[in-house]
Amino acid sequence: MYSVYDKIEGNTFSIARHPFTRRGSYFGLIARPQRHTVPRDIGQWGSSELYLTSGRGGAAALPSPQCMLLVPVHHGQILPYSIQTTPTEMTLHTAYGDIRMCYAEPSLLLVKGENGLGLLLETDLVLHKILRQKGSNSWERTASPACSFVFTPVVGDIDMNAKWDLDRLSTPQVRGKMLPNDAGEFLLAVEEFAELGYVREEYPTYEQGLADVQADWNEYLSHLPAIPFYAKGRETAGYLTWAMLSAPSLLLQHDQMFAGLGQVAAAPQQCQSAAAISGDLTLAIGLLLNQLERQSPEGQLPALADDTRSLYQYAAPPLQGWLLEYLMKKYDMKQELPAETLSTLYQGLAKWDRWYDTHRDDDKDGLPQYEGICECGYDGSPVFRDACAVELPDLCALLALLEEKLGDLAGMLGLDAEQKAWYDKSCKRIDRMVSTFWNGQRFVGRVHGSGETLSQPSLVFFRPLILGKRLPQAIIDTMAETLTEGNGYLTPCGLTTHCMTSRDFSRLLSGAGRITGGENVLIATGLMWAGKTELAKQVAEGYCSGLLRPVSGFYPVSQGIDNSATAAAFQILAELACGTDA
Amino acid sequence: MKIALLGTDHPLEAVIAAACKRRGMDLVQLVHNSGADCASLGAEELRTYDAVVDAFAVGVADAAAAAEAACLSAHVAEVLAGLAPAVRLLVAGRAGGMYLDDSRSRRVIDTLSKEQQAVEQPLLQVKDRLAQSGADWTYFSPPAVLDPAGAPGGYIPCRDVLLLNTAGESRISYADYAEALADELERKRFVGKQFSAVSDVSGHEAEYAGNVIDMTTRAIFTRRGSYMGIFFDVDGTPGANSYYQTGRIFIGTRRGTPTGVVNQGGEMLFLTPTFQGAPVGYSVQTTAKEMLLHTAYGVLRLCFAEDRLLYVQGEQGLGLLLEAKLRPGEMMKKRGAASWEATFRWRCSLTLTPLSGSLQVDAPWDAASDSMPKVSAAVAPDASGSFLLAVEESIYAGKVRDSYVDYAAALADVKADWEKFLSYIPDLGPDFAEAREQATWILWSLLVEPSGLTKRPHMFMASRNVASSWQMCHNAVALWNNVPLAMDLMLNMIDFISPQGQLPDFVDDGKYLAQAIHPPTQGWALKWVMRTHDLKKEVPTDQLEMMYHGYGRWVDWFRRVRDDDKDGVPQYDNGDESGFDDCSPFAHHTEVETPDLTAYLSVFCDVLADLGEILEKPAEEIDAWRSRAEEYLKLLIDVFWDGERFIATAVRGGEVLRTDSIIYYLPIVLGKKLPQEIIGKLTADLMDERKYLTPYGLASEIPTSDHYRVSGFSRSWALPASNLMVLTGLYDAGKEEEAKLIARRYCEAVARWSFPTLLNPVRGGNSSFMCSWPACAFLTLADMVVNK
Repeated sequence: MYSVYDKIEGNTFSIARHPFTRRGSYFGLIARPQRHTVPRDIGQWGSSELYLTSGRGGAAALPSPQCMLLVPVHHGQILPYSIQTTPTEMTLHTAYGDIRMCYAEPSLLLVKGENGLGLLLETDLVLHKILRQKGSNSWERTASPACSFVFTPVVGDIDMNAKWDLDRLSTPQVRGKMLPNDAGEFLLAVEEFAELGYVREEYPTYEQGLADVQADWNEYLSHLPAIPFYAKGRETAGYLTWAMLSAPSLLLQHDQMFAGLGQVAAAPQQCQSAAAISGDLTLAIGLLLNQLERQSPEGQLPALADDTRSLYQYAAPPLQGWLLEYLMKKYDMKQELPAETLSTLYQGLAKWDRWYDTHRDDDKDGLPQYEGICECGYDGSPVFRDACAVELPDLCALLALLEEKLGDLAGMLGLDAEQKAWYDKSCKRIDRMVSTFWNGQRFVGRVHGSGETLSQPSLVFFRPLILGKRLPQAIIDTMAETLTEGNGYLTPCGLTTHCMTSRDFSRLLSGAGRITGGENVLIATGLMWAGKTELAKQVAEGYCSGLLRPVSGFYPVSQGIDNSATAAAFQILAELACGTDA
Repeated sequence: MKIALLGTDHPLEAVIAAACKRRGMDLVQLVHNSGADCASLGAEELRTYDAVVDAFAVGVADAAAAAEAACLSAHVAEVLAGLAPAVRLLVAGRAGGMYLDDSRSRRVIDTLSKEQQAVEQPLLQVKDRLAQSGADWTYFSPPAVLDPAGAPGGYIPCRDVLLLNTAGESRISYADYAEALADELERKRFVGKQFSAVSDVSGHEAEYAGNVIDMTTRAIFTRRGSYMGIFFDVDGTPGANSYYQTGRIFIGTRRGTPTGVVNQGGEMLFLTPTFQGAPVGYSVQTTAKEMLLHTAYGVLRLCFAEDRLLYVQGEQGLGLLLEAKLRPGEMMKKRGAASWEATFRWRCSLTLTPLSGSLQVDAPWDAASDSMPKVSAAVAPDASGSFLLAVEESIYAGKVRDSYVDYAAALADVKADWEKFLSYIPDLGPDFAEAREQATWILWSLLVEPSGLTKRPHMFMASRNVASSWQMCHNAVALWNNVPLAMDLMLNMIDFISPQGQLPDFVDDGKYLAQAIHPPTQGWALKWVMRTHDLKKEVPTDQLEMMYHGYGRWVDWFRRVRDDDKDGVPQYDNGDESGFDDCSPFAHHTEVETPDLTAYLSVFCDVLADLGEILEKPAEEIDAWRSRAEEYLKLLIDVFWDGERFIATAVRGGEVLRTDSIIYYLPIVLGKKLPQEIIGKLTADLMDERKYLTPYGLASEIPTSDHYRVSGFSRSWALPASNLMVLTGLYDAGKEEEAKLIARRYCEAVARWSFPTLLNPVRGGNSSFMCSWPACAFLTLADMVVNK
């Protein structure tokens, strides 16, 4: 009986939900349910197995990226174990001792065993995939599927049974054992390569590896703001935003934020992640530059972009202006960034803004339309029930903010005439938005083409708050009042995406009721910038608290910090709640 | 069986008579002369027959003759009503009553001129009266065209709706017509019914002569540069023949991402020709520039105006139905006044613009899936009965253009593009003229423009799989006369060289696979191009520098990474790396030192020295490459030549391997650098019909070998890579006549069987999908046979 058990007090994260990996890495360890496990038991004792897996884009496109099963053994007997996690080390506790793992380098995992413990290494391979011997006793698993892994016994030995089958062009069954040495210890190095691998002449010791990764983690953590009330979540959120950063590779020229192993974060999540890690401005700007480096000739930014793939078949909400506003409140960008970077941002984002005029404003009225739910990010929202193309005020607000920030960038670059033009464009768009969509009581939207009014009680109509004090005070006051407790949106766990008293409210759909980090970030920062500090903090505190300690099952908030997007939201809102926000 | 054939001595009657007589029927031909009294045919005269064939209507061409024929037929039917069921009546009738489609709303007669209708009308009534006549009758309607000269090839029976054969024609040869009637007399399948037949041309290679593309081999109709193409779906039976109406065609993509994703294939929009809104059957004809869908009502024509712009043109009232099943998040969106954009995640968008005619889209929005799950788009013709649809592919958001060229201009553009590409391929003489065009088209259609990961034009191996690094070398060799393109195909792998110096195995727009390698044949390919081109003059210096440095690192990589036993002899780590995946030296070992790898590296080092000279590198650097070439040559002979043949050795354990694979003969790529004795012995084996020589080129394993398998990849088939490299090497070694003899056999075989990758060495035949490889081998070897 072997198992994964994650209910150890003090675990930074649950291996049942998040991979164990390191910043810059493209591979990790994940728990996957055993074939017979029923959904309700996932994460429970005996329910899962531990796999080595690849997170490269090419692998993500394949249905089964698991590369090697790892199982602790003692004298050949497989063992039950529990897992303890910290950002830098993962420990498999068994009755006979511990197996410890750390990333000595982003591409080098060290696994250390004691007290006679060993490790099974098992996988089944298909055509053209093989496990082959490298050097004296290392083994390479090729085409795994977008990388190679080289397993080297630094201490101890590997007993491998991987019989070559010419007709299958494979070593179909890989059954190996990492065996301890006479002192009962082993040290296994697992190195990942984008190309074919090789065996090093020497490897760092486990202690050296652990020291390296701890230094890396500590350095990253030092850039994260102190959030005294939320220390418990700080490390988990920090781990996820750290571990989900992948190093430049192939099409990526800067670190990129992934939502999970092999699942790159969407463009709006990249913007919020950049805000969350903005303690390191260069790192944060890199996430933005990744988008601009994949810009289409006409200016479109990809909705998703990983090391090998780009997705352009919808336009994700343009949160880049919101991000620049966030960063500019924190930094003097002209001082902090090279003029070349500022120019790249300016040129690219200007084309992005104009892309909306060309491709998403069919009637050329200055009020662009979303085309499909993905473009708004409100999955399942009743706003889109009857029409896929809708004109909503938030898209105007996002673009107006972007245009103003473009004006700021133009100013930093000494382009005074362009600065004024951008400011004018921004103001006109806001005026048009207010005159068209504000009905005296609230913002509404309309169906593109027919003009039919959309007035569902959705939080999406509160997104214009990101404009802060650029909105008329009366509108700010009215919107803020609606968002106070008792009016259907504000809960002890943050804001729901749809009014709870609506018949359309759904706890399951992220755009029809769930409490999502991304939306709480937008509204809370908007409220803050609009001068509604107290309400902003109330939202932020609720979200962070609810994430860590749900008040009631009634409120549809995530069960803990579940991915890098939630982690980023937590980091931003915790900072806001603690009063250290710019 | 005693048969009376009543007619007017039309030539068809003689063919019918001959067919019946061949079957042993006792047939009597009773010829009726125009104007004679039809009443002379009485019951007494016909009673003695088992069946009467009424052929009065055959060949009738004017109204008066038609009226007379109808009168005769009516009389005969009346007479035979009294003799039924003892005497059958089989009427060889007319096509006018055949329906055009399943709706049975229009008949052939409705499409004819008034003059023609006047001929058909009285004859039409013959069939209608039969049902009431009381005779034991069968009525045979020929298809639209009667072909006196057509060869017999069998026929496909049908009933009262026109059927098109695989050539897209409603046509029957006299011979098939006669067989159909004779069959009916024997088998009585259509008693009391009307039936028809068309000649079955599916087995006639001659009927495919006009088709440059054999879509049953999973080829796609596309244009150089395009990721989009028309794919053929043969009802989920890969490799099955495409018979009439058994398959569907669709606009698909070969972009890298979907090809790697299970359940996210390349299919996007399925196409069906329509007439008056209803689907109609069609057959497919292809040329290099244009694809034609033949229907009973006219022809739909497709061509690529640009690599991302497909045109579909309809005529004579034909329309087009486009259907798609969209996945969550995929959309069908209105664009501009009349256009629509379909988005396909991770793939592309297709913008449909009706340039003439109209486009009516039914795509109900489903909020739950954030999609229009079922899309149906109908293109209808304009008042003149024609339409022109533009389908533009984009990886970004789609866009409607301000203006589009017309179909003729689009066709002219693709024609010019194709002809320019074809002009780079040397003339291969009359014997290989058609195959030259087919092979060139295969390469042309597999070229794609830079996109995503790739920075230069790139080539696919097959319709959805990109070529590997060594196939890229074979591609470059085949395109040796188009130097810029050949260089791009070589350079695109160096764009992705690893820090260690390894070239990737495969790269396409969305995939990068470098966890395997293929043989370092880049030197061999460059050498081939350099013999006819002055690279110093024709290739930019920066590209030559890139090759010199990149390839230098690649050669070093083998010395550093692929020599576990440090004996200086490089090894493959498994059969895949040799390019002959399951070849016999790897039967029991993964790491093997085979002689071909050492030979490739020797050639490579020499070529690097040549490049060094072109680039005016320091003399010691050039000398170092020359020395390494000699070292590898010496190793090859010292380690692998046992006095009679080349051998291989297992890296672990050192076992000497002497199997019967063609891989032992690849060192011939060194040409005259090998000692004459070795050349002589290799040539003798290759020319031995008990060993490698077959009627279809060189086998990859000797048929008497224990390892011989007519399955897998490299243990029987006459393969393009081995034939290409061994035969060019043999030629270079001074064995010109031997090389030409074998090359001609291979070229004739691949041309005959639609360019199979795997060619059966014993019986020939097509055993695999369409692929660039045999086309490359053919173009290079046929050039050698014809022009050298």
